[in-house]
Amino acid sequence: MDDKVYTVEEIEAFCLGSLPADQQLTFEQRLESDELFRRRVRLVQSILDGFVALASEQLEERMAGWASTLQEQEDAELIEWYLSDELGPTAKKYVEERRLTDATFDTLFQSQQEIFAGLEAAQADDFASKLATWEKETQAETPVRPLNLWIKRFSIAASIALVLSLGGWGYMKNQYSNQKLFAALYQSPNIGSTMGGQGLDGFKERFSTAHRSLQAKQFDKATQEFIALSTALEALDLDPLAKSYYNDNLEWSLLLARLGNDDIGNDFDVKLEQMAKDQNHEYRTQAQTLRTQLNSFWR
Amino acid sequence: MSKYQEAEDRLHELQSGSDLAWKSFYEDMRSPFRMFFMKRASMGPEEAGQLFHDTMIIFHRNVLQRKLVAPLQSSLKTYLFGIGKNVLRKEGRKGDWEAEIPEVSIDAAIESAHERAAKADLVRRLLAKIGDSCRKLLELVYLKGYVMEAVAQELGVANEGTIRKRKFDCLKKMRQLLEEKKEV
Repeated sequence: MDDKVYTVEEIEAFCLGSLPADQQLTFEQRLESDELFRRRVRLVQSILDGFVALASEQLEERMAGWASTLQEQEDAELIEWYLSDELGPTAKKYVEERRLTDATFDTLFQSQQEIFAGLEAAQADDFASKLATWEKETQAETPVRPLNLWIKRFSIAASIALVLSLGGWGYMKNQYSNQKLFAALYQSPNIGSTMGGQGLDGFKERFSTAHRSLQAKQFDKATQEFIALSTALEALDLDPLAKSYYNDNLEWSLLLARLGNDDIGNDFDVKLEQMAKDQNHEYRTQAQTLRTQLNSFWR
Repeated sequence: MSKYQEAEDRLHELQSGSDLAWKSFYEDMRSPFRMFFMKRASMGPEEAGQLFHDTMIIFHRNVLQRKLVAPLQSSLKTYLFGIGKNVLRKEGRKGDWEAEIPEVSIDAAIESAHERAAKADLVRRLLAKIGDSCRKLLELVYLKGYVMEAVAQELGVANEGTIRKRKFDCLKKMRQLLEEKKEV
């Protein structure tokens, strides 16, 4: 029997499978024949296995921490991959289902989709500008000359790209049109609520009618009705809370009716600005959103 | 100069046990890994994330145990994706996507979380009994993956041989404790 005294390094190397082949064989033979040695190696092996497991546990803890800081980024990435068709069916389904159950995720999805569409349109627009510049330069430099096959092909492709890019630009312009902004920002108020006060029933009836006009996109009619309601509200005996509710709604609805009617000149900006700055205004957030969108690059 | 010099430099950083190096490697690999397996192996995001963690554990072990050393035969990314492929193969999941990852002969065995916890717990209890100096030394060697030279430097010992001897003594202490425990 081999009576060599193995060092801990050699036992360790055996346990890790990194002992040279010839030594490995001798080592295994010794293991077979020496019960005490076998036991010693088994103990070292379990200690080493324990260290490996402990190191893995520690790594797992660290990875969990790193992963949690990446959660937001991963959601954004997932949406990006979905929009650029980089996901398989299971992940696609996950995104679609999550949109239905997670409102925050759905909002992120929608805003990212909008940004993507904007970027695509911007790229197309940039390319279209370049094409126009090249075309001008070409016309200036080479008055008339026959085109070779590749230039002809490129010209055809460029024409298609130009048409597509103008389409993309048109699409984005359309997304920020007054009518689209109106549709995105209008929400029917809680007309049926009872807020108390004499003469309120008639007012509420006219209030509903004005909103129905707005919903039907009869912007001129709705504008007149909201102006008349504003005057009527002043004469109405209402508690301060109810009065403030109706007043804010009428102001906001009037602005939306004007927006839908493309009537955004004169004092429109001033009124919108006042609303966006008024901390107590019921529609302050909506006014801020509208202000941002009216100043958008896409307008 | 090696074909994979950049990867070898990075491997060297990882071998030093630097937390920053591991974090940066994790962050660099997570997105491409998840995207590949979600697209090619039709996995959901959570499943792909779990596969990435299992793969990283095996990768970490191979770095720590010096199973992955220079000169490298592939980039670290290829190596990592290769482990992921082997883990899925072991689970019986195969597909066309396999051909896109070069073959790397890596054992993709990984114990269950329960087994791992039991093994780790054994060592944790032994470490608590062998004294601070031994615990610190063994942690540097086995948990951080420091080479002897780095351990000597960290512990302020001039001679690597001294460290080797102390490591042997500390392991022996652990072995004796374990033996006593088993006899009881």
